[in-house]
Amino acid sequence: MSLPILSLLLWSPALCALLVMLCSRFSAITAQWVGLLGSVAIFALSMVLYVDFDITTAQMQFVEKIAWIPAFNIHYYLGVDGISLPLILLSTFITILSIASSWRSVKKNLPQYIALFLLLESFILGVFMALDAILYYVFWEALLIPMFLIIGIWGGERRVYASVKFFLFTFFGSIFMLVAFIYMYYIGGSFEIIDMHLLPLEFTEQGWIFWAFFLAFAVKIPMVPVHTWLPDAHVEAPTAGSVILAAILLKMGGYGFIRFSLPIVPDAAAYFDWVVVLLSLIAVVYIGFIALVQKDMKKIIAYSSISHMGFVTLGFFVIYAMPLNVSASVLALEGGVVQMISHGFISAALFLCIGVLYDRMHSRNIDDYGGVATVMPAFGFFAVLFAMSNSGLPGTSGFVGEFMVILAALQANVWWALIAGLTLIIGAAYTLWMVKRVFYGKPIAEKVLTLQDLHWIEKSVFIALAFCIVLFGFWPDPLVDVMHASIANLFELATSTKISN
Amino acid sequence: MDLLTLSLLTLLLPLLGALAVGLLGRRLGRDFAYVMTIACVGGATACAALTFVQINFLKVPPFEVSLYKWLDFGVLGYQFEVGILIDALSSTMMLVVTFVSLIVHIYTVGYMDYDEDYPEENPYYQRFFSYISLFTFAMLALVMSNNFLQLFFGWEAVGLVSYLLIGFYMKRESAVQANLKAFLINRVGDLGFLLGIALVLMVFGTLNYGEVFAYLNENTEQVQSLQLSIPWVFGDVQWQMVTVIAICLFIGAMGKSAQMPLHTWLPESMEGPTPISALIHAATMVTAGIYMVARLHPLFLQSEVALSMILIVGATTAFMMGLLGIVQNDIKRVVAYSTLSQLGYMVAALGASAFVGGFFHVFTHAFFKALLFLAAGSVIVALHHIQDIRQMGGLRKYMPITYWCMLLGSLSLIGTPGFSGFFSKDLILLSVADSEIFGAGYAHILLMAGVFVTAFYSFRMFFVVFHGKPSDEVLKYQPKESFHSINFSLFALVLPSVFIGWLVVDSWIFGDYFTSVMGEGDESGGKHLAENYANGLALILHSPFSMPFYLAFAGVALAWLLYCKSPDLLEKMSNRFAKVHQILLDGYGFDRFNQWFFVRGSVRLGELLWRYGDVNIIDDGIINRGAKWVGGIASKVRLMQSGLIYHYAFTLIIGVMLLLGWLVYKNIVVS
Repeated sequence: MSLPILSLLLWSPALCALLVMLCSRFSAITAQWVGLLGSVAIFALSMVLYVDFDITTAQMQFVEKIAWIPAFNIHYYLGVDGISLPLILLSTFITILSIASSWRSVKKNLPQYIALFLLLESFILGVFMALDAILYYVFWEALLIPMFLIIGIWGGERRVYASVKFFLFTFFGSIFMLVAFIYMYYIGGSFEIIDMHLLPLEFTEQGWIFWAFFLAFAVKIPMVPVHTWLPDAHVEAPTAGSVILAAILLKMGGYGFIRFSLPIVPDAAAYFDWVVVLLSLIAVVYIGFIALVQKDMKKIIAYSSISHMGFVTLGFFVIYAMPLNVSASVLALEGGVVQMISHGFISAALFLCIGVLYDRMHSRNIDDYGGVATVMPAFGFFAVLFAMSNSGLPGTSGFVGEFMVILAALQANVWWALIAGLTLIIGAAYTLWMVKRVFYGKPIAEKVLTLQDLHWIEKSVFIALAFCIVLFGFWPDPLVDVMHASIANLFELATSTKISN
Repeated sequence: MDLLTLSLLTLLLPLLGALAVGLLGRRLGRDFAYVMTIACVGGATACAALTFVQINFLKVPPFEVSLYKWLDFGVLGYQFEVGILIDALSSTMMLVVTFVSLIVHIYTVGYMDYDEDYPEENPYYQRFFSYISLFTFAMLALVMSNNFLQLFFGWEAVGLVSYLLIGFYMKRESAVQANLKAFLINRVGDLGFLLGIALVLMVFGTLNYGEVFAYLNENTEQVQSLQLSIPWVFGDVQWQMVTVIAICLFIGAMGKSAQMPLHTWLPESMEGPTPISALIHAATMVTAGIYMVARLHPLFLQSEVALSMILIVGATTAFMMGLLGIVQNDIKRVVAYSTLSQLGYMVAALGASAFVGGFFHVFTHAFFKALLFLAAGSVIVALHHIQDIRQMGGLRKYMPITYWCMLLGSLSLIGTPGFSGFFSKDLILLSVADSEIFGAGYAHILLMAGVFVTAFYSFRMFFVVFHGKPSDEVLKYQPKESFHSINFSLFALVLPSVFIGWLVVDSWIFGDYFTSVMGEGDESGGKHLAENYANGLALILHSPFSMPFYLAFAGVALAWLLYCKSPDLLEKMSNRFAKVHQILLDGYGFDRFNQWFFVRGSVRLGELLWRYGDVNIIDDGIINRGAKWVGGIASKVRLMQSGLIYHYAFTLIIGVMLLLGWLVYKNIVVS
């Protein structure tokens, strides 16, 4: 047996967290460095995964399987395919940035803070690697704990309300998912996700399971109307918390849809596809208008996230409106995944931008700003770049996913493409209007005039993000290359009926 | 060098300049900034010229290459590539773009040197050079593209740089308002454009020009008969597919080329520094829409409905925007409205299937309009950033070079026989006169009237600025010709503004220059052009016997009468037509409507949705009430956990009895 690389990757953040806590008893600064360097090492380890990954097969790779609770046929079962691999890399990458960005901005108990992020990283990786539903569920719920603590301890004024709301929403959704898992175990005798993909289910059963999954994932991603926890959570979360929340935790909802909903209950998904499509389009337009009138910068980006996630769900479910159209369906599915990855970079970048301002001014209120770009030219450059990618400018990653989904959606229904395409205008409107009010104009407020431009840590974080955003904008092929086989397989599963006659 | 190297150098040198100056400019200083970018763009111009020579004189066949795969789905479907297509059309446009850009770079050295607002240590000077080089790269990417995707890339990228440059003076509120507006209105057009591209992909399965046109050529009838069914309240509505595609793409062109009703951003784009008004908002970017339609003309030719729409939109813009030019008092805005009007002419030409004619006007307009803008900029610099023409006057004596340049540019613009603008405009008028599609008569009248209007507003500005008595401001500042770089740029543009039309008309219109690219279906100059005229000279000789000549003359004469000869008459006239004047000043109310409906409407809608949707219904109505409800139940249920053993025992007994009772009932009664 070769090196269990997935386990190594999965548990090293947790170990690193432990190490950070140990070091923090002696010296806080050592602990911070251990955390930062550890997260870099973990990212490097995940790149090994990328290098060794075989893009020609849809099979799960680097598989590890050990009996965990034999009485219920539950396994410690890990594996990676072309859908989870990009998300894993995204997670390890973003974790570095969230730790680095906390370096200067968190004053209280920084080692503990960093340790929590590392612990969170372990659980996130677990979610994306688990091939056993119970294992998956354990990680899924477990990561609520560090997140709850991050918001609850380091959060803003209404942090208790926000963290409880966050916890309850997610928990409420996932309970039903667990019931669905247990039901499938009851009839199929296995908790393995791959077995569930092949488990024959009648239509009524599929319907129940579909809605159970839907509640879990729709809350997580989040979709209208179960999205209201997100703006609150973001506003109260500390900067790095918002980054992880937007860049990675939301993606678990999208991942759930393609790992569970589409392949396990294809007939129900095909039957209820219009609900998801409708809600996705509502997200794009309705949420876009709401984002337009927010006064709090974090709320704008939070609503913008919901709106952008609409493209993910649209891309995943639009395939049922164009049966037999393989090329457009693949375009839509991969577009959804690309959108998740790209949004990971962009939302992280934007929340970090707000963090930079908040650290200096202790305000997220747009009205307190104006003319920042004049005082902080380097920061202004990055902020405008990230804002442009948030408005889907070609040449940035923000364009790629939306482009793919719109192109595909048009083949299903012209109206869907048109409505989704409105984001071109609305997204640009709320993002650039914010940019105008915060960064342009005459710097009037006294506090603005004394702002210091970016520190080198902040600058390096932004350079890393800008590099990814521009790279995948100009050359997204490597990103989709790893997915093709898995997405083709997913398309096969998602469009073949499970009903016996 | 082979074409691939040349074209890549043309494309990438400006990018290199932009990156070098953008990243290192602050450290290396102002001189580095302009030397570097001018060297790069100069190199690009040389390469573009060599490319042009190879394609057009050495008759090297058109050249297409795919540079890399942007997205490749392999067996699963589509391919999106980034590539280059060099033919007569793109090589000509490349030369125009690089040449005007080079001139503007040189001009900028002098123009931007003077700015009190920004201290020496602020790298705004370097940033400006970086931006215009970046723009050149983006525009070249658009022009040289061999597919729709890259076209859209360039399309949005020039929009981005335009956004950055309009808002270049970012401390000025009106500038940052204008750039936001420009970006958003362009985005409306881009939405149409994107849908058009999506439809192309759906119908043809590829975004490569060559493949699309080849398919179109072979299966014309099948494509013609394709219908797009759009779900509607009363069942599906059927539209002809190619018509929808053409109209969607044209909506994109309407945004970028500022056709009504998506035109309102262009006058406000004048908030940007003058050099970029010349480069971006006159010579190159705004003509991208016309270039696109000319490039994709096989698609547009399939739909007469779309062509009619293009013709009508173009002619309406040409006339209505020209009228607005009459009442402007900002020197740059006069030129801006003139640009709008001329763009209308080009678009109208496309509608009349005169693709070569439309492009011809793009070509000549690039030179004389850039010249006019740069001359206006020269005046602005000399007068310490005064832009109101009422504060000018009598500048002829102070600035003779600018005076002559402005005069020649204006003469070219109004179509004086023999000048560059004459050929292209005359051909457009001839084509529209001969067109038989719906709306051609309407368009012809408007375009003819437009000739008069053009002459009038051009010379109104000219007389007010350069003739008459010097104003107090002029006397105060004692303006003089400024930097050498500015004068050099003016000279460099005067020559093509005057002569280039004559140089190329014989080969472009009467020869076979564009036959390989746009020959098929092109009706530049009307169907019987060759029978009526032998060459460019014949056009000139014929012009004294045609309407436009007298219309232009009348326009100049009226301007002279009102603004030089008898100002009393002007006063009488403007009192008489006060209402009309007001409407024109108001720009027909487009801005007011947009502000009221779109801007305020969206914000109001957003507030409504937020307050009633998210806050009232979802959060307070469902979530928080739900939480309270759960809390309420919990507080009741809590009573059951009294901790008293007899309560529990009692409940247990009751429960057991109920259960027994139910079993008994089930077993006895049912069986």
